[in-house]
Amino acid sequence: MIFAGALPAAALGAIAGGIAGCIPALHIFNLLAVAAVLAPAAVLPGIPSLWLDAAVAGMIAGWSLTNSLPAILLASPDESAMFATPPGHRYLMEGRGCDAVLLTAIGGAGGMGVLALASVFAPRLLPPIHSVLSPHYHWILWCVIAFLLLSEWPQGRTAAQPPAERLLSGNRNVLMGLLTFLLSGLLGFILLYRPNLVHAPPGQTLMPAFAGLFALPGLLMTLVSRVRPPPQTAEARHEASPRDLLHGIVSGTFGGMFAALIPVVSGGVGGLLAGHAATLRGDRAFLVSQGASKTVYYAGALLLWFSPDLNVARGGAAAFLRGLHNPPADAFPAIVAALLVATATTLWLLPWLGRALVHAMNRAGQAALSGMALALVVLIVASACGLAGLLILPVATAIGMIPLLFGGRRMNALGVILLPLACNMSGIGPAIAGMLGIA
Amino acid sequence: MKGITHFTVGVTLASCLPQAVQAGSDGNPLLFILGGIFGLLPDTLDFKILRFLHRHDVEIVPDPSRPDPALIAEALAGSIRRARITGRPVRVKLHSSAPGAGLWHRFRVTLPAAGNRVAVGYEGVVNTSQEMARHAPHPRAAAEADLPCAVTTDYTATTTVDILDGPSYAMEPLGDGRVAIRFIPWHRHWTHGLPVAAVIGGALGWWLGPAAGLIGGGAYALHALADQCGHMGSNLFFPFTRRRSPGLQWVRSGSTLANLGVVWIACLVIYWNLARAGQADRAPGLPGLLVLFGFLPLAAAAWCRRRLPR
Repeated sequence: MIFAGALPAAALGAIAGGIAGCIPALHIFNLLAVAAVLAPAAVLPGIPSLWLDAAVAGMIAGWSLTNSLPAILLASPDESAMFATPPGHRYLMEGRGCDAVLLTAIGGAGGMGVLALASVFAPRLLPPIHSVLSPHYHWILWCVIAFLLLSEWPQGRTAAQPPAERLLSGNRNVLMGLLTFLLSGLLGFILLYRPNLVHAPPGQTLMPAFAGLFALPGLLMTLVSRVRPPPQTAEARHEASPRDLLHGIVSGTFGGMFAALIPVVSGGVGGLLAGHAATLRGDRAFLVSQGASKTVYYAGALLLWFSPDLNVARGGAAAFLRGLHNPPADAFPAIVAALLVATATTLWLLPWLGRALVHAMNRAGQAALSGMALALVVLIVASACGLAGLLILPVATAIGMIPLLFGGRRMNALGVILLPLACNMSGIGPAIAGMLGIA
Repeated sequence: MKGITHFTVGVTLASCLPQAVQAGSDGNPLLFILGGIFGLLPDTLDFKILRFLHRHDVEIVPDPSRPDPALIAEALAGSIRRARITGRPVRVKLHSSAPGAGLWHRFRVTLPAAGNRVAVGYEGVVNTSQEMARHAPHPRAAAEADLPCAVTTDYTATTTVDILDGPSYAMEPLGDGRVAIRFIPWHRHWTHGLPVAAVIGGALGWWLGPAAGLIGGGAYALHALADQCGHMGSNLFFPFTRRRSPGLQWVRSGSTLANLGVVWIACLVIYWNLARAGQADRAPGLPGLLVLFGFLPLAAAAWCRRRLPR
């Protein structure tokens, strides 16, 4: 009876999460953090804990499948969907933004299917893997950072220039990427070591930084750009071959699993690493892969909390549930089922949401919609973090604009979390904060 | 091989040293980072520094508004003619051509083509993902030019020129009247030499200790050796040799299966090394681990991939 009730809860959670996914900068973890303040008094009495767990799983699945809509149609991604924005923009400029969203959704659904299959043997494999790797997570994270920085490819134009000029202009994007990483890392240090700066819900001190680094730059560029995308087609279809789909789903799933297991690594980064290893080529396979890695990352991180003999809390959803109750011993299969039900529900919901957003976009124009989204982001940050949040927002936005204006990958803005947390995990964070005068 | 493959192999080498694993579990990531960075360093030096410092005698810059394959064919043939007449190497840079933001003209250069000619085809516009754009503003076109003498090449004869940066060539006159075409001549030269790896290893060992030297130098050397499995080859024994020696031609550097296979097997070896260091009695056996979780899944993936339509 309790198990049967969990599935409708997952479907309802998926609808709520799916709708939240359409709102730029509204991260599902922000929503759960607000719920954590309200839930114990208002929601919990009388509700079986498994229903709440399933609803949260549904929200995670729904949100991670639909957050490609603002990332692609409004160029306003969160940190895990930002990798889908550049290829999505190419689709957008051909009036096929929804096709790109469909590819990420196929990837997400495929990834969820593979995750469900893997969950059959994962409870036996994960505890020893976690036990072996946990003392080494910090250097794995440093290696991820080193590779991300080193793998930036020089893209500057160099025709008819002397060698020294070629060296500088060719590597301009590499240098700007490094600058973005260091500045965002510094911002992350300040926010993590001076949490009293921002009066945000617990664990949400980085919210204004994330909104500024990832969501706002794209919206601002859309507002000032003279290039407008053509009217979008609401009926999505994909042209990916079975090989593209398999390639994207498998590599994205591995990337998502890696990101779920290794602290601080996000789904987008995991997908990027797996894409490099699997030599992904073309926008279609890449979008499928990014969809898979993002969904598997969020769902996989939640499953780690419910995995018997493991119960590792990764991400805001597990942190939210940890604050309410311990995971029931036999909840793992129910949560896997809830994730599958939520995925199916979101796939049913997604075309409706896509059509609504495309209709609004075609009618009001992308710039008007971006202006509204921008106002909404500012409102969300102001209401969650107050005046200090509003002061941090332009600083973070200025850093987030560097890659868009001067070249470099937007991913480098992840330094906001990668750099301070990698330093903390290696035990040198407090010393560096002391050197910076913020300890 | 791809950058991530070299990087992972370097990290794997570090994981084989108990000192590195011990330091890692004690909170010091340096030796693993060194393995990764020095595994990638030869290509980093080539593609981020030497490529830009390389001097060019001829730069071919196609007009973005009027892509003309004949101009490229004539310029390449002219460079070979100049090398043949002057008896001196001629270094040529063929730039890519961008008709708009995120769009690139695609040319296919065959040098040498049948009949001792250079053939250049214009194939249309691609995006940065190398997918053909839906609207082609210019028709496909092709052009050929006669070469003034016989030529040899050290890489595949056909090169695609589209996104980011175009290729460069060195046209080097040979004593027998032919001209040797060296593809991207700044790549895989001194940076891919094993003696250079030894020097780097020695310097790191002197500065940071023997383990760092072994890992840095070893990762650097493994990069050069792995690249030798491909087509282009490397100048493995610089400064004792001056030319790249031909590759073994076992794999293409962009091969999905080769790169994924090496990265995946490397990850399993890292896991085994860490497990062995942590709880030696409970560590899985390496052969079983590699077969069950490495070779079997990779074989299944290769089988599926081959049967699926593109």
